[in-house]
Amino acid sequence: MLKITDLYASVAGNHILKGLNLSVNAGEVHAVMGPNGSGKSTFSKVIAGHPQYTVDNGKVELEINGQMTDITPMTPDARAREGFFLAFQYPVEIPGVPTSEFLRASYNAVCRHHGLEEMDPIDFDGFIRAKMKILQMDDKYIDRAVNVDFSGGEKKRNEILQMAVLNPRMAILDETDSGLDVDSMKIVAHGVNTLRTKRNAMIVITHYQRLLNYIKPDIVHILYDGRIIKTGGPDLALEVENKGYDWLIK
Amino acid sequence: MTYESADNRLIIHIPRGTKPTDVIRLPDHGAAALIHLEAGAEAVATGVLSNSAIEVILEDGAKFELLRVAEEGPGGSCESTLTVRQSRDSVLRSFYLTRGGRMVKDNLYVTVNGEGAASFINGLHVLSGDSQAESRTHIEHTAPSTTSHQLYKSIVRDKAHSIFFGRILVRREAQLTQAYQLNKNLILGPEGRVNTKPQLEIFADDVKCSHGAAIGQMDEDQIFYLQARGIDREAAASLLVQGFIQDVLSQISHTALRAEVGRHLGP
Repeated sequence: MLKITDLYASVAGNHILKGLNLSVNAGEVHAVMGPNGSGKSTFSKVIAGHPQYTVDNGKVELEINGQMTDITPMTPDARAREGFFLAFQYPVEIPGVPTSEFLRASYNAVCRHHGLEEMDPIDFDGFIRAKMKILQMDDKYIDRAVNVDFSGGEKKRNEILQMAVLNPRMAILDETDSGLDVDSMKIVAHGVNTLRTKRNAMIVITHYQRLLNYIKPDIVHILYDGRIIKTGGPDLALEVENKGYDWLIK
Repeated sequence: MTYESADNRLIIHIPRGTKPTDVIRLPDHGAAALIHLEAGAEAVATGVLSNSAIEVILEDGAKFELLRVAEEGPGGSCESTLTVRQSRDSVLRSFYLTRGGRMVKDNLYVTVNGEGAASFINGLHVLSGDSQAESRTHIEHTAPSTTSHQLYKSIVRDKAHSIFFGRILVRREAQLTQAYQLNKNLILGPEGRVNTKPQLEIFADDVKCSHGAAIGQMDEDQIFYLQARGIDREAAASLLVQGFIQDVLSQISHTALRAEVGRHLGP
């Protein structure tokens, strides 16, 4: 589904990713863990196509119409329309734009691209309310401006709501657990697990093992100094939880 | 309601107890009018008032909402003035909209002159090409427990130029006044210009007043967030512009007036 080969990337002249390799198949959930400053956030932004980050070398291939296609030349919106999704660590507030209007613009942009019929506001309202139930989100958020006057937990639920609306094939969840209390984390994890299928794949970026109790990964990677230094099963996350990162770095 | 004409000035008299039914449409351009609302009367009015001098008297408890649109061709200049005097517990809602011209100017004078009176004064400049618009507001609080809220916004494309002068004067006798003023500007062209000058003069000692001005460009984090959801850059920018003007448009309480603004802004 996603194949990252020898990826080097920098921001403002600082080299952050230094030869990252990662391959994710359909139906898999991967966790990427690492200490602060290891490049976790850069990793997610580079894959999403953030314009401030430069890809200096390597490829990011996404399966598009059954073909592995290098997406590094594509704009962020083109990547999203091809089924890539990033759940932001810090969701952005958009004053004046109602959440319902934003979600519908997003959904219809993807539909148009795939030659599917767009949804009118009335049908979309029913569609979105059903998705909000899964995340136990209050209806009032639909009329509020995007992420404005949302609590930290509500912002993270809103990210997963967007994921539920777009139903991506490849999603990266960037520290979705940060700023969440245990109850909110369970709700968010339930939302994510509901979206998990044999045909899509996810990468969960996290600092702590905690989230992985609720979203069970198939494979765990340790990111350090811009590359993957160790790959293992779910036990690797537990080992990190107990022993920290030091033993891996030495 | 009675209309009369004197010295080329239209006089609209709205008697006590009138409730707003239809929107009063003031004659286009070149209008000079006196609008007088008796105690407790309510009315809603609008007009394309590019060159105009409108005077409004709000007696006790009167409520008046006015939308003024200034329209000029790219080479044309015009100037409009609104003067309002408010008595006790009256409410004014004023909205000014222009897309600019060679020089499109507006002057607004409000005297909040009766205890408990409130004023909501809003404006929007949507400028492109090399058009200019200048709004000057002058709000004077002369009675206790009065309020004024001002929100002016501008969108400046190309080489356009938006100017805002806002003065709030709180007289010594106007204790417990609340006066707020905010001017926010979005510059979308590399050569767009904004001048903003908020002024606060307070002679009473127990008041709540604030003013502020902001000038910014399109927020790249917001653009990226929308793009990350499949919305292309152009559509994202247009959503953000709509969002920017939405909170000032939402200050218009009469739906027909809001629709009128939508018509003037066009697609």
